[in-house]
Amino acid sequence: MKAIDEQADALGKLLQRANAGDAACYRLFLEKLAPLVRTLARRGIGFIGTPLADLEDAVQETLLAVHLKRHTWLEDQPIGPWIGAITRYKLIDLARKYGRRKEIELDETFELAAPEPEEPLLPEREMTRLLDSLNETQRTIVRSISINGVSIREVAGTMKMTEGAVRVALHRGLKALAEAYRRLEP
Amino acid sequence: MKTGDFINALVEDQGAKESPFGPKLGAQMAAALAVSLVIFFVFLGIRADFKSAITDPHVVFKFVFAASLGSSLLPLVVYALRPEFHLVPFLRWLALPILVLGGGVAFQLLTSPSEHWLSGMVGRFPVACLVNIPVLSIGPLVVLLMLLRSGAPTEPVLSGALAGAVSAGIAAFIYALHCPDDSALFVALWYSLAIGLVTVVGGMLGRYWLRW
Repeated sequence: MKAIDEQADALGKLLQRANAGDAACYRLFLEKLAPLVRTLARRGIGFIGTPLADLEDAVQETLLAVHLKRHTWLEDQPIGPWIGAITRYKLIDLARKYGRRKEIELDETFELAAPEPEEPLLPEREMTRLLDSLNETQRTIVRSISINGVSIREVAGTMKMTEGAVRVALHRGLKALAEAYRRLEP
Repeated sequence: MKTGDFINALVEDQGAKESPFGPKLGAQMAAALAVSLVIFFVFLGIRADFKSAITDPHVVFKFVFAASLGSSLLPLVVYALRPEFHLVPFLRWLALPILVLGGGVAFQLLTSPSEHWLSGMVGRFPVACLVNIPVLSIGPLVVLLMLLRSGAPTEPVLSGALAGAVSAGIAAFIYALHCPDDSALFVALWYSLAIGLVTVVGGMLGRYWLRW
């Protein structure tokens, strides 16, 4: 339990500094959070036997939810229960969705084969597919910033948009992704 | 897309986020109240005998009941913005408006002869009560649901229902300025029905609108 508390403590400090505008801390926060969510998804709530790709979808979807709802964490409150609640909410929702899928069958070897909470080599499927539901500007922006790793400023340059407009489009794009994911029918 | 890549997009989208707990909340609530008050003064208006009526404890009771409902549940709506908050244990706060209602009914039964009980309960304008309280609660309900949407309620149906109950409490308080039916039995029956209706609608809206 102590290790978990310390981990949560570290995450809390990172998010606090991230909320104060420190991008490097925010990246670190998300990078530390991802394997935790992956472990939770793998162990729990109906995901055992889920194909790796779907599992990674769940991880990304949960990270997106944490991102879009990060303002609901009160900095004087412990961050562990907050993260736990969001993860649980998303995973239950997603497990319900995946639970109806035919391709998901309990595979005993799965857990033995891949116990480490590392990102699978297999790329997830939905997030890429969901990108198609965005409008062209949003899609280009989300894609170039994530996959190509360019900054908002660079995107603004190549797309001949103001940085503010790119920022707005990126934010709307991410919100639209969350919405599209939520509406996704199995 | 790999998760590491996806994180790039989240980090770039970091910009400042407005807290749902901020001053905007007050402004939104004020706007919602204004909508209800405009509807109230255009279509209903304060009862003509308000000055004399307000000295009657039966009339005062209606305001106390409505205020106790709204004020005991409004903090829960604010708590519901936080995903880690479990609402169910706090539903015991409902005891406050229920006790107030029970007290009012007991007072009514003690202060009026039994042959007036039925007529008092049916009242003169039960339909108006059933229509006006829900109508007056629309503005506050929309604002509270918008507020909840900006948060992360993990119990969407219950959160929506609470928003409905609070809105109905606000609406009942405003409607009591007009309502000529002063028996606590009328309140216990018709106000409760109207409040229950708005609560159910809030829960149904929450089911579809508050999921994220």
